[in-house]
Amino acid sequence: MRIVVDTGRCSGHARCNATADDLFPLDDLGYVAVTDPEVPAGQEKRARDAVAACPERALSLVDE
Amino acid sequence: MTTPTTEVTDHRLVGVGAVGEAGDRFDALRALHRVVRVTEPALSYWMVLDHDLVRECLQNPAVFSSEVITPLSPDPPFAMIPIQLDPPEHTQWRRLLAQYFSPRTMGLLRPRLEERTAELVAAIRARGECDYVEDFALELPTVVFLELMGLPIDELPTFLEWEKQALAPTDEGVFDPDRQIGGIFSVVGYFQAEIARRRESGERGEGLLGAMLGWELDGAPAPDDALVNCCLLLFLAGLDTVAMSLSFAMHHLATHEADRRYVAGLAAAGEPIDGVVEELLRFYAVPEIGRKVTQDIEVGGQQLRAGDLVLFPLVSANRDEALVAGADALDLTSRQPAPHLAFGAGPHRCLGSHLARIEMTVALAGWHRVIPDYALRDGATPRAYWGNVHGIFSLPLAGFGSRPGRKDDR
Repeated sequence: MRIVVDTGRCSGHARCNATADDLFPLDDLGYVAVTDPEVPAGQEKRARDAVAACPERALSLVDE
Repeated sequence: MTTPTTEVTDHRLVGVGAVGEAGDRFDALRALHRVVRVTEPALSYWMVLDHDLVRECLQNPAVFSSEVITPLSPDPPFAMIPIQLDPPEHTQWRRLLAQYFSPRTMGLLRPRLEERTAELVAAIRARGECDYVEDFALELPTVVFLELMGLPIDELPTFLEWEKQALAPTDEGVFDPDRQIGGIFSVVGYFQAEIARRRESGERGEGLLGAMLGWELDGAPAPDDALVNCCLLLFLAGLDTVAMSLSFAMHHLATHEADRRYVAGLAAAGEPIDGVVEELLRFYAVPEIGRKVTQDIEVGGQQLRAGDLVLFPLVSANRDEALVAGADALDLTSRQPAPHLAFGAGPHRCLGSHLARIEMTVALAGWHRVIPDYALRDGATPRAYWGNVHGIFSLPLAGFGSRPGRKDDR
């Protein structure tokens, strides 16, 4: 499972980070800056909850 | 394909009524329509009621310009920075401001907020009653604003007075333009003088204001009049919005026994109340924001024309069933927080959202730890007002009952 960020849509609500800060780190301005898009095994639910928390619908997950 | 336009003539952007009415007055319209055309005696605008459409429009600043942010002021005399700028001009200001309002930076304010909350709550507890609006909700964000900006805390009474003049309606629920402009001029005059004083002293001084004095735009120092403008915006945007979100939250809890007990239980156990804050923000979202259409576009089957004004009542979007099942009721306990739009969407997402969330979390947890039992004072019937920000005139609370423990009463 991989995280896909639509950076054009992210406007810095940071709700993904509030839900799963390790999977969705922020840059200095508070916008999401995913460094490792691969979701570790066992973390799928947290990733899904974080994606669902985005008010902008800027995040998605793709299964590989 | 466009559908026939629903013309609404009995809706009013500005008004007063029962507290619940502030958010409920969109429910009947939203059940039938996604977008309506509102005609008032002196105003005319589209109103978008549907969650997805509100988000999509706010995410599209090229078509929905912030040149106009309320139908109440269709031809603004000047543009407030950065809220009335469109990209790309908006983007540079936003980048300068964002680091000072990031979740990490705002988190640093938490200890000071907790301290101030504890002081205010202890004083209220000792007095046995309060007007929550006046004695708590207005004061906390104003203290934070002064500290964040790097201004002396003894300016608090002055700023509170200007805030009332600039942002609140009179007791009759009328927004008096002369009074509002008077308050705004006072704030502008203060920042002009403070910036001039700091420039002359050769020291930029403390806080965000000190940082702002070193900002550059396109390689040149940011002009002082633009900085004054930006300071005014921070003042206007951050004070009554948090104060009134808190006031609606506390009105709800004071009038819903089970919800109050739930929050008090979490606070007593030291459990996080972030989910509670999200649901209260969702259900009582106070802003109604406007945009001006720059080119013809179809929205929800309606043909909008260049030059039209549009209103986005965020509370309507937040209570749309499309956002979450059961969205028309407040539910503190049984679901994941919904990805609501209380802070807007798109590039103008509320810059202060992270601060607002911390303020609300600290304020509600700090109150309920010390005052878990309370209710509206006997005979009190609080009244709300609405406009670009919903508010409550006063919220008399009493019935604090016996103490749960003394450890927080410092």
